Amino acid sequence: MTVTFIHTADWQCGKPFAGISDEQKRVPLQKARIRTIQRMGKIAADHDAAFILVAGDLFDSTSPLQGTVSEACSAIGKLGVPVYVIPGNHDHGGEEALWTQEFFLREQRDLAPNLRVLLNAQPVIESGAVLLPCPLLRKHEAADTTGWLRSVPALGEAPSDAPRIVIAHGSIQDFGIRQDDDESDGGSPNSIDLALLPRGAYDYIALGDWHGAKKVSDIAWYSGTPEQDRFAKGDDYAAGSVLVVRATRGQPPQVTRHSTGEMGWHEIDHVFGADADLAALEARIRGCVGDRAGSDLLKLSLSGYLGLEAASALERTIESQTARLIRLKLVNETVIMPADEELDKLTHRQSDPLIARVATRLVEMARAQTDEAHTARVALRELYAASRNR
Amino acid sequence: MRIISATVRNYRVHRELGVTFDRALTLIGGPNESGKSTLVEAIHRALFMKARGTSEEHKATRSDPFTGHPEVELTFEARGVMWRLLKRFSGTTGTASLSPENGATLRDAEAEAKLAELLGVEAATGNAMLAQWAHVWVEQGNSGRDPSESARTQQGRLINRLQELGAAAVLQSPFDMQVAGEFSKISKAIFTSTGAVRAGSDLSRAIAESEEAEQKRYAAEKRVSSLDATAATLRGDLEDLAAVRESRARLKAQSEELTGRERSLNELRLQEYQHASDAEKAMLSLAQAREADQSTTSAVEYVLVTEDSLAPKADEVVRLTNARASAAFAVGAAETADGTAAVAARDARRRSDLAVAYVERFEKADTLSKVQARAVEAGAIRAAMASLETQLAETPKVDKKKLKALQKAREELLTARATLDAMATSLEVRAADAAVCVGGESLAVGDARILTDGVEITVGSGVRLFVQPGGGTSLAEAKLAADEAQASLDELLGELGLASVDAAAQAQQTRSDLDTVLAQHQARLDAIEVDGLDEELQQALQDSQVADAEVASRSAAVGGFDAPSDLAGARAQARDAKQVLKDAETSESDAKEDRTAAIEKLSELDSTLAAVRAEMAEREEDLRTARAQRDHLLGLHGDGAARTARVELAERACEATGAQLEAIRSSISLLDPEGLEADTKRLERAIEGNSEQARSLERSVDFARADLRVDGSVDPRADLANAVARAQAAGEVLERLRRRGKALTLLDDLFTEEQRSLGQRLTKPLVDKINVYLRPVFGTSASVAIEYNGAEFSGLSLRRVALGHSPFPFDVLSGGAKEQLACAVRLATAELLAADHDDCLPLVLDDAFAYSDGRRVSGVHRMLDLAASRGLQVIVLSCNPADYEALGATPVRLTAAEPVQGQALAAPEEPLRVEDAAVFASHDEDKAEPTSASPPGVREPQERFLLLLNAHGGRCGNIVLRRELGWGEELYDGVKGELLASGKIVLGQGRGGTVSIAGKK
Repeated sequence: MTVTFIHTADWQCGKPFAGISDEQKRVPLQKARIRTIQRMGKIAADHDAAFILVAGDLFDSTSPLQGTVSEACSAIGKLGVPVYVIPGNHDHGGEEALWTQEFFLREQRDLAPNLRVLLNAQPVIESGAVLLPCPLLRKHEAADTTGWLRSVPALGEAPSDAPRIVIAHGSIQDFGIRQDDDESDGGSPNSIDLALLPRGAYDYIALGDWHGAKKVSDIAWYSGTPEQDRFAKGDDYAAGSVLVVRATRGQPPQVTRHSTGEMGWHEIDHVFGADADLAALEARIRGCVGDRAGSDLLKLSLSGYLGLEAASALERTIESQTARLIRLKLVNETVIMPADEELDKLTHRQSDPLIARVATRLVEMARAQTDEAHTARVALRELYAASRNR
Repeated sequence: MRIISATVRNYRVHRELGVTFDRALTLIGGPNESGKSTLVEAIHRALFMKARGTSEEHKATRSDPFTGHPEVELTFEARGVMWRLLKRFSGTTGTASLSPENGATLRDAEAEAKLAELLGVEAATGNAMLAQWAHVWVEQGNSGRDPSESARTQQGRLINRLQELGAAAVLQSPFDMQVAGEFSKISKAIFTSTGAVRAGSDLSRAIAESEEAEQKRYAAEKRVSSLDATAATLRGDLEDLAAVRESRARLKAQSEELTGRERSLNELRLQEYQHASDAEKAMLSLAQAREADQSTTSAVEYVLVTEDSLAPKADEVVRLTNARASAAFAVGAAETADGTAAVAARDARRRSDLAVAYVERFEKADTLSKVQARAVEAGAIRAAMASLETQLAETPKVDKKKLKALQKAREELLTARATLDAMATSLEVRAADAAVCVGGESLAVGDARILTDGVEITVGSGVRLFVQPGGGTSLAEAKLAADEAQASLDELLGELGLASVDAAAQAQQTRSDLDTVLAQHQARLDAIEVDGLDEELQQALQDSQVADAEVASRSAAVGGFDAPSDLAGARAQARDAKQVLKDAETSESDAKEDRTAAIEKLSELDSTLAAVRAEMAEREEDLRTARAQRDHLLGLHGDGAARTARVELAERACEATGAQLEAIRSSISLLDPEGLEADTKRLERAIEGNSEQARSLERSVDFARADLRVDGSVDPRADLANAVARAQAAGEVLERLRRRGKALTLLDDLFTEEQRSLGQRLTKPLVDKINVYLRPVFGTSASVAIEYNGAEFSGLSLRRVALGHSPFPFDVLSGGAKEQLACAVRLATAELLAADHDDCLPLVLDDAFAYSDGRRVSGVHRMLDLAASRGLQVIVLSCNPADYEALGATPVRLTAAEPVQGQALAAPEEPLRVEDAAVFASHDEDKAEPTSASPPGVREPQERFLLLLNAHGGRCGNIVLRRELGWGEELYDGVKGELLASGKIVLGQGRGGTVSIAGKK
């Protein structure tokens, strides 16, 4: 028997996006995470999915705001199919978790009767499939949550041809999750060893935690987050989608990826070789962001050397993009050094010998590999700016 | 430019004064108010003030005492040409003319313009005019000022010269300065002078914001970690609770097992109880059987023993009965003996008593006869005594005392008569023919009389003679005394009825003898003890009668008694009778004892016999009872064999039940009843503890759950993420501002450094020249520093190796050093600027070394000489030209008399004072100076002292004052002492002491 369902994870509703200094700009990102749930309903309907599996981290926190809980429940309630959820490291099912709290239970009952939270590691027979949840009951679980599946559990009255679907959240042995700097939540050490599961015993392993869609074995997939929430990690980082899975007992699953994301997350690594490279950077940014505003995020890593004038131009570009983008994450390692002709303007300033002498000394300091070099470069820029006034 | 000569007319105090200057060194000497300063002022005004004008400065040139307008005529060299300048300051009509050597005279405006051009100045008025060439024109009192101030007017030229001289010297531009100033301003807005961040700056705000963000982040972290900790605690508690519950189950199982054991034990205990009862019964039966056997055997044996014990008792009764009969007989015998002894004793007692009565009768009779004899004797003595006392009574009662009185009276009479006789006339009738009568007494022949009294003697009838013996009265007195003695004797004798003293003596003797006899009688009487003799006699009589009666009475009861004849016989008889009595009484006592002993023995035997008989009776009774009991028991329990069989049967039953009981008890012991009890208690305790633990954990879990229950109004984790991001952002802002702050500080520092460096390069030629001029004064180790910041010179300081490496800013130098350093700076400046003036500039020094001491003055001389040798024209003005005698300058004398006499005194502008003139006069001849009125030396030590003290406001410390005077201690103390002595100054308080002008506070 074949069962079609949607595998998703890491919705992380209520994520604060604290890295965005402008609090107003956080709201669109948070709202987008709710809207992406709504889009899953159409995919489920299109593919006649029997249910939706959320492999952990539906919420960003064990204590999300009530508004977030209500919005998420409301969106889930409109999906039209049962939604099975296991707690992940962010919203683990420990005692302090929201899953057993009165407010959640009420909202679930009122708004999302189709939502079922699987808090126990025991088989659930549902919609023609055997669901084998591996919930996280604490943020960091030392034991492998799939441990109970290393010998096939008693499946009771399950039909023998019902596909067996494992749902788990954590990092698999050879695929440790490396977190981004400012996204770091200490990583998820919850380690899952798929190799220890008996071969052929299970038909699909729905994994959560890694925010990009990734196939990690013939039967195991990370679905990734349906709405990207951090800058890509590596070239094959495929966030912003869900997986439509057709699982059949004893056969490899058929998995297709379907885009659900709406926010543009971009990353540009740019090295300045000459002041002219500034134009190239602007072109690249335009290529990503176009003329949109308020819908994109950009991680801009800059390095190399720029002259003072070009640096000033770069600052203007950054100023504009900071305004346009929801977030400009800037890693600027560009060494701003006056260009030779700029230096000449300072150091060979016949009319103002004092400025020329100070500039000459700053240039010497800036070229030395000392702690002062950086200060000297900043000073040169200040001096340049002050001198440019005449 | 060089001033050759000057002529001043009608200029203030000067009516007309002409001075020719040396090309190199000129010394203008003159007393105060002699117009030295006025002279150089006039030259200055001629050079720099337009002739036409009505300003205050113009008016000041006028001289009221003189009618003419002030005029100054100068000859000077400039641009290689000799010029003659004439200025007449007559207000709006003032004129100026300037004539070059061999050239056309320029007038007024043209002349003024040319003059300004020659001097290289812009035309100026007022203060600006006054300040022209101030760098070479040292007015009186200005010598100690910082010369960099006066250099400002020449700054442009000076900078140009310095730039010409310094090959690499560049000058910062105004823009340089603007930029440097901006950075300084911005840097100072961020940091304080100590490098601390300035409050209110962006950086300070960023620090505060960053700190606040960090605090918030910390609080958020704490909140989250607190929640995590609570959750962890909760998980731990839940695990513990599960463990506690499992433990409870195990405890329950153990408890049930114990209950089972308890049940078995109870059953066994029941069995034990039953079997114990059986065994007890068996043992009772055995005991009973044994008891029956025992008692029966005992009864049989008892009868036999009792029967055996009765036989000897019967024998004893017989023996005792016999003994009693013997004893009864002995009692009878003893009683008889006793009666006989008693009779004998009574008889002996009667005889003894009679014998004693006889003794008594004899003794009493004897006593009676003795008493009677004494009574007879006493009667005789008493009769004798009565006779004697009669005799005594008849004898005059002369005792020894009376006799003595009589004898004494006779003695006195005899004495008195003797005395009378001694006086008396003896008369003896030897032959008488006629009766001789004396005093009426007839005397016979042979009679003699002693005439003691006047007496009439008659012889015959016809002769009558009156004889008066002794003459006078003494015979009368003796006669009277003899008469009195006679009377006294007679009286005494009369009293006693005696005729003479001899009779009295005899009577007294008689009485004495009678008394002696009487006393002897009385003694005899006393020896007889006559007192109570009558009663004694009476008693003796009575006793004798009683004794007689006693004898009579006792004799009746005694027969055969031989009555004794006397007392001795009676006594012997009584003695014998007493002995007989004693023996009889002894015999009687012995007989009584024997009798008592015999009775006691009989009584003893009687009681023994009764006891033996009673015992026998009792035993016989006992035997009867025992036999009945024996017979009863034998009937009841049978004979010995039957009893033994029954005992053996009971023994076997007892063994069987004991073995069963032992088996059950062994089973009980195997169940360990004590252990079971302890286990039960222990388990109960454990279960109670477990329950308590469970309750405590449940409470803890409830609390933790309550803590963790979120209300959804905040998300602590989202809050933490936000707080972390904010802290990071604030940190980045702070870091950026810090970097900028550092950069701006760096810029400020670099600009300051480079400015100083540029300034030093620029000022180097000037500094070098100043150092050259300083050398003659301060030596080679002295050097100066002067800064130029692009706008002005500043920071003039003097460094002297001998005094350490720190430079002394100009302001802190002593007055003398200030003058000397300022002069060196002026000379150096003038030398630099001289390039624009044919390599020569005049340098006017008006009283410029007031504070310099003697040693320094010679240095100053060398410095000025050096300047002259390097082309400068040095003009020195001094009121004490003697100080400059070694300068080698061309002297010019001004006299105080030059202004108009008398009128000058009336002038309102400080004329020469009379007292000064007087002082000058006194010094006149001392001075070798080529002056007509040599000034008195206002620089005389005392005056210099006072001048400087006044400059300090009238009060100054000794150390400062001495340093500024440049004096040694000896000189200073000497001058101070003079001033103190003259009362011009007084001492004050302060460190090192102060001095004040007298009368000033």
